[in-house]
Amino acid sequence: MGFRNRKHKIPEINSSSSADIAFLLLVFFLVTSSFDSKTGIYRKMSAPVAETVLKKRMDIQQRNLLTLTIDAENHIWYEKEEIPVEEIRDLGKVFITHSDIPRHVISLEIDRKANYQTYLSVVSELTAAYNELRSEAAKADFHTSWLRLTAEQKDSIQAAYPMHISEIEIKVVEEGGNP
Amino acid sequence: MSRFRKTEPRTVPVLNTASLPDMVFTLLFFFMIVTNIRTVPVMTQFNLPSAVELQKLEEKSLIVYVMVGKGTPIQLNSNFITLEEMPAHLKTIQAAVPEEDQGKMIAVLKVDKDIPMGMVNDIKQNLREAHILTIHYSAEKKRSK
Repeated sequence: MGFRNRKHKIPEINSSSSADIAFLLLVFFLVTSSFDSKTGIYRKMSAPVAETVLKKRMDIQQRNLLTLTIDAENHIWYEKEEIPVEEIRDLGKVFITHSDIPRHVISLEIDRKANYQTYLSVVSELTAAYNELRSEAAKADFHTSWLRLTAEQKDSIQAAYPMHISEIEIKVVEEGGNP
Repeated sequence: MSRFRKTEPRTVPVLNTASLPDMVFTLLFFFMIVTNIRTVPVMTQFNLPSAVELQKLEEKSLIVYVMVGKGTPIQLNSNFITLEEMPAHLKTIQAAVPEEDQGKMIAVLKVDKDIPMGMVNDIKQNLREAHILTIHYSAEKKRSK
């Protein structure tokens, strides 16, 4: 009968090498997977419109319009004065709160020779201005932080502080025409 | 003193390594979850610009990669193209996407920080005319000084 062999021990499986196998898998995945940066800034463009519609000028009151200009040397100008990137956030916040909020427009005039980094810093600062205003509104209206709001509450604040940034490319003036 | 000598010869206890694979597997799963697997080969060299307000790219499908490096043509997904060819290429990409999903397409712009804005604007104009309206500008987190 098999019961008589009870005293025989079942030999243990030597598992000391399974760690090596797992390490091998780990190293394989570390080597083959490529790290990809996934951070960035979302932006929604308006749908393309026909030229005739584009030509129709919008009437924007002076107090609802903020014009920032980026020139070819990557300097940022506001009302004929150069301003550093760090001040754009406060400028944007002050401008938006003092304007007729649903009708405000931030207009970016960008030279074709300006570099991408300058443009993105300006966009990032303006986004920061909007985000700060929206989180302040969240504190004032719902007494919680922006992250804890429900989708409907976020929508209501986003509707109250809509993002209106328009981008205009400065047409290159032909050079060499100087007398 | 003699009492101590009578003790049996001691052996070093064996270290039980049975749980070592579990630890390594934990590491393995951690890395597998954390890493983003890249779908499009990157053939362009670029230094991404830095910015403050960053959002993570959540969607993984319906993405069009546009990469622009210094001194190379535009890389659209996995081919090099010129600006003039871009509308035609975008059309072929869109043809592969089901019609109801076409509005959800996202263009991921990985552009070198020294590229002039004229180039970026032309690319954006092409994307806009192809009705790909959501753009994700890839950027790195700005390091505080």
